[in-house]
Amino acid sequence: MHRLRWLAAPVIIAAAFLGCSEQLTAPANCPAECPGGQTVYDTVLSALPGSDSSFIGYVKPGQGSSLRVSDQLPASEDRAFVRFTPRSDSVFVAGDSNRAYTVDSVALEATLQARDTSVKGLSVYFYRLPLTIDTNSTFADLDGELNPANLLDSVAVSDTLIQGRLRLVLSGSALDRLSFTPADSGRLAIGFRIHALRPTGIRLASGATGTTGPGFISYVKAAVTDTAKQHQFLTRGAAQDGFVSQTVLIPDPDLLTVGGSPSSRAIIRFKLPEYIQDSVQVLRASLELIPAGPINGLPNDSVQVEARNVLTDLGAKSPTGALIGGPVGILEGGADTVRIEMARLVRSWQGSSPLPGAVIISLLPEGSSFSRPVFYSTRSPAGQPRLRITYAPRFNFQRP
Amino acid sequence: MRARLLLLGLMLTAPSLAAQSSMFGVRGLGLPGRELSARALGSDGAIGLFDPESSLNPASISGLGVLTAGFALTPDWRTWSSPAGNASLRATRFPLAYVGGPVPGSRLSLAIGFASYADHDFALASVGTFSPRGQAVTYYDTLTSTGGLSQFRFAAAYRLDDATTIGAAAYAITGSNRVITHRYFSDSSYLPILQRTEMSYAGPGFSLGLTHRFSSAFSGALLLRSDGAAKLDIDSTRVGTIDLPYTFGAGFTYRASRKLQLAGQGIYQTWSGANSDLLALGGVGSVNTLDVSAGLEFTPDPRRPTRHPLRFGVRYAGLPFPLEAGARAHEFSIATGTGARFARGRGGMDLGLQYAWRSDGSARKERALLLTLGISVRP
Repeated sequence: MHRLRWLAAPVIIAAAFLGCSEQLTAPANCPAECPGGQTVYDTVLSALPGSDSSFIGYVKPGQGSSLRVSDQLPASEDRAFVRFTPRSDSVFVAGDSNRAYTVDSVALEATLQARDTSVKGLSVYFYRLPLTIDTNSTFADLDGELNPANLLDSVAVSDTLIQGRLRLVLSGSALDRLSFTPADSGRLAIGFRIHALRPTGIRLASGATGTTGPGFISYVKAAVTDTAKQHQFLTRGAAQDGFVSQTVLIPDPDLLTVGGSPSSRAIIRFKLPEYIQDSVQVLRASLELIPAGPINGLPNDSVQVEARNVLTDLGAKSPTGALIGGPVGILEGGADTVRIEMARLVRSWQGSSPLPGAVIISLLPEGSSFSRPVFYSTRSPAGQPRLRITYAPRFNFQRP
Repeated sequence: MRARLLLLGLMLTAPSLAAQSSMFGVRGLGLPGRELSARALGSDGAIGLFDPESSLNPASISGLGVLTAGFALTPDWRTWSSPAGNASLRATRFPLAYVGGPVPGSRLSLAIGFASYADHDFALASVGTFSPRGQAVTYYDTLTSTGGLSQFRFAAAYRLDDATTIGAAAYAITGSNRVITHRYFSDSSYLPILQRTEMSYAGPGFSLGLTHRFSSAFSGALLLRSDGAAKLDIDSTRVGTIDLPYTFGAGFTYRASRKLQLAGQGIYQTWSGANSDLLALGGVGSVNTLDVSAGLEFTPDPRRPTRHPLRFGVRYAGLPFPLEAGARAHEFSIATGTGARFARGRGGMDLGLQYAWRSDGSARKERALLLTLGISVRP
């Protein structure tokens, strides 16, 4: 019995040790040498006729990440404005108290987000605006205020600069152009327009982007005797900003429009066949949208189209989910079919608790770019939206 | 008693009851198990129909002189070469476990046990291309199967006289395969495929066996076995049945001298009965197989025959499930082994070492080194 005990330990150890060691993977020529069988199919689904449409008004000018400014750009003619938060008439001096100040200089800043780098000689002009300019102002209202009398100064943009901070510094007598009246209550409003050697446009970061938004910085001398504490600065961001367009385009109800400002979105609906709905594994799903014409916009600007799933189909107000198709980049002037890959999204349409078979198409950045692609709809005689699905049926496990 | 329970527990909790794995076992039901103990495998199966610790012939369990429990452990190392590539493979299996012995005061012996019926462990990696949208896309497939069929045997043997023993056994053949297929694409626009299933089998079996000593030197054995149809369920849904084979076996031992015993056996299995079922399921089919082995056992000390005997054997066997239609897979192997009894015969350990060449007449070849360790306890 003692010897049996002596035997048990190494047997258990050997069994455990050897039992853990496996290498079973070998190369094979499948399907000839392999059991089972995997097949893959490709099919094209048309959108449900008449159920696709565009809606406008999702993101208004200034609510997006960019302020559009352009000069004779075919896509859109735009002017931008910013009203900063009020600048107080005193400055807090650390270790002291609020003190009156005198302004040494002022910096007005804006961030260039996008431009057409093929256009040279770009300058951005800063204008002081009356405080009456706001989001209700028209293009004519704003454009009328961007006149030489209100010009603060301009910033010449380097031809090599693609993105970056633009900074206009005013000092000395130029500060007179920024003086406040008591009615201003320290509020400053400025407008932007541009000029270049050719018609073009730019996108400036809006206040919605946070610290990259427009800035109003006052470098001041506080009324304190301690010279080390005299030099202070006051920074103000945008309280309200936006842009106005010369022409606001209304989507054609027979086409699908996305982008623009106010932004448009399109909803497209599909119905999966039962054999796809129930048991296949969707490998790839490409939503194919055919432009009704060359896509307008700012040349060389990075713009994308994306598709989002719909949690509940409420038409224009359908809440969207986290599943995203694409995004896929589009180019100004392009007329090629736009293909948005959305396999994971289509998979959410399958199973016993499927989400609605609908997608919302929108543009990125929304309400900010000059692009406004228009696609054929199911009401168009040709080029209707379609969904190309590559799928794998259940593996033929029973094939021995 | 503690050691007895320990070994019995180890036997019952063995992680897998499959025999050796093989790339020639990826089709059909897999690579058929051999139901042999380490002792019998030392002669490459030549004494299998007489070996009481093997599960082949129910009549042979009368050779268990006392209550005996045991199991076998088989690690294997294989090399696989095919036009698709080469691979070094290894696996460890527990192909056999049993408890049996004579019923005191009678001529009856009983045994129960598990044994591998067919091993279906493999993982196949392949590469291919497809062009669903007119543009070629490379895909990488992995098909993994773990599991196989096992048999639970209840056997009884009755010693008619000193020379003749008959036996019968009933089998419950059951098992499952967990199969997973995974496909990646070189184009990330295509999401990977991951599908899995569980295939389960269940079927009965029955066998009759006979051993007879014709003389003090010469003995013979016969086996007749019929396995019914295995029901095949995939994820609990019946998809078909697969006919299991009839088995006909015959063997002999011849004691050439006090120290030398020669043995041989042949087993014929009608696996072609499963052919139509496999074809109906879309498979390649199956063929009948003949398994022939010959060997010897040399006993250095005839007074203590269990002390370090030397066993040798050779074997040729057909394999029932070809990888491709028209191919005929077979294996040739050589084996050696030894064993020892200790603790006054209460404990036993046998070793069997086999080297097998498998091929199917094409460029596909497999070589396998199998080490079988058998542990037996006689409380």
